[in-house]
Amino acid sequence: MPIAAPISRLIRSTSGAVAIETAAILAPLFLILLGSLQFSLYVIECERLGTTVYELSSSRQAELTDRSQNEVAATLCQQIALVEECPHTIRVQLAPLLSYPSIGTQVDENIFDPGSAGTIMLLRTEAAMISFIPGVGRLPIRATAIYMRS
Amino acid sequence: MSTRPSPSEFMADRRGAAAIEFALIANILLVLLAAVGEIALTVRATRDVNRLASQLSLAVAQTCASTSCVEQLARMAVDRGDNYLITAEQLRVSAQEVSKTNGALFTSDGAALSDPTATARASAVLAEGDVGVIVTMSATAISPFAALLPPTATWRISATAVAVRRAAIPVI
Repeated sequence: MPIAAPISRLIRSTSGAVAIETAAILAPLFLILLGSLQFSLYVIECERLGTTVYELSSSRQAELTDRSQNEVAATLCQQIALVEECPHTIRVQLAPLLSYPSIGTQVDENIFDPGSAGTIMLLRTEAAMISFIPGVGRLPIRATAIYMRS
Repeated sequence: MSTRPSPSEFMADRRGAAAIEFALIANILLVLLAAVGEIALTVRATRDVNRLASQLSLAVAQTCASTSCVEQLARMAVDRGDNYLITAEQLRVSAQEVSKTNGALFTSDGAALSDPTATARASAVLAEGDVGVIVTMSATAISPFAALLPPTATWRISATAVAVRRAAIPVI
C-alpha cells in the first residue's frame, strides 16, 4: 500500500510537535485572556454607572428633577465608554418606589416621573455593553438607587 | 499476542505525562479563575447592598414620623426588592426606630437595642435625644460561577445603616 508508509512516518514523527501543541493551547489561553479583560471592563463599567446613579440620587438630585430623561441619559453616558450609541440605547426609568410592582420588571424607558417632594423614589438604568469575545452577545450593565426626593 | 503493557512498563512510560499534568493543573486554575470572578462580584454586591441600606435608611428616616410608617416602608422595600436589587438575591429588610436616651439606645417599644452591629452604628450616629432609623438588609450575591465552586463559597451579605430622622447624614 503506497500511502501507508508516509502516514505511518507522519504519526511517529515528533518534529514540530511543540508548534502543534502551542497552536492547540494558544486558542483557549487567548480566550481566557480575552475573557479576563472583558470581565474587568464589565466590572469597571458597572462601577462607573452605579457610582453616577448613586451621585445623581444623593448629591445631584436637582439633575433628576429639573432635567429631561434624555438629558439624564446623556449625563450617564458621559461616564460609561463601552456602550454603543449610548444616549439612544441606555434605558432610564424614574418613578416613586410605591408605583413599582411587587414582582421584578424590566427597565421601562417610557416612565420618567420625577415625583414630588417627600416621595421615596427609585431610579433604574440599564445599558448593553459591547463584547469582544466571539459568541458572547452584549452584556447588560445595570444600576439602581433609592432616595427621598427633597 | 496482547500489546497491553505490564504494570512496571506502564509506570516507566513517560508518554502523555505533560497532558496528564496539564489536565490536573487546568482544573485548579479554572477554579482559581472562577474564585477571582466570584470575589469581584461579591465585593460589588456587598457595596450595592450597603449603598441600598444606607439610601433606604435615609429615605425612611426623612419620610416617617411613626413606627408603623417605618415598618410599612420596610415591607414595601422587601416587596419591590426584585426591581432594585440587581447584584444579589434573597433579600431581607428590617427597619426599626431607635432613640438615644441617657447614652443608651432603645427601640420604639422601649427595649434596649441588643444587636451589637446596630448598636455600634447607632451610637456613632445618634446624639443624645435623637431619634433615628436602623435599616438592616441582607442578601446573597448572584454568582454566575456557582457551578464551578463549592457551595460553601456563597455567603450572605449583611448591611446595617443608621440615619437620624430629618437629618441628611447616612452612615453605612
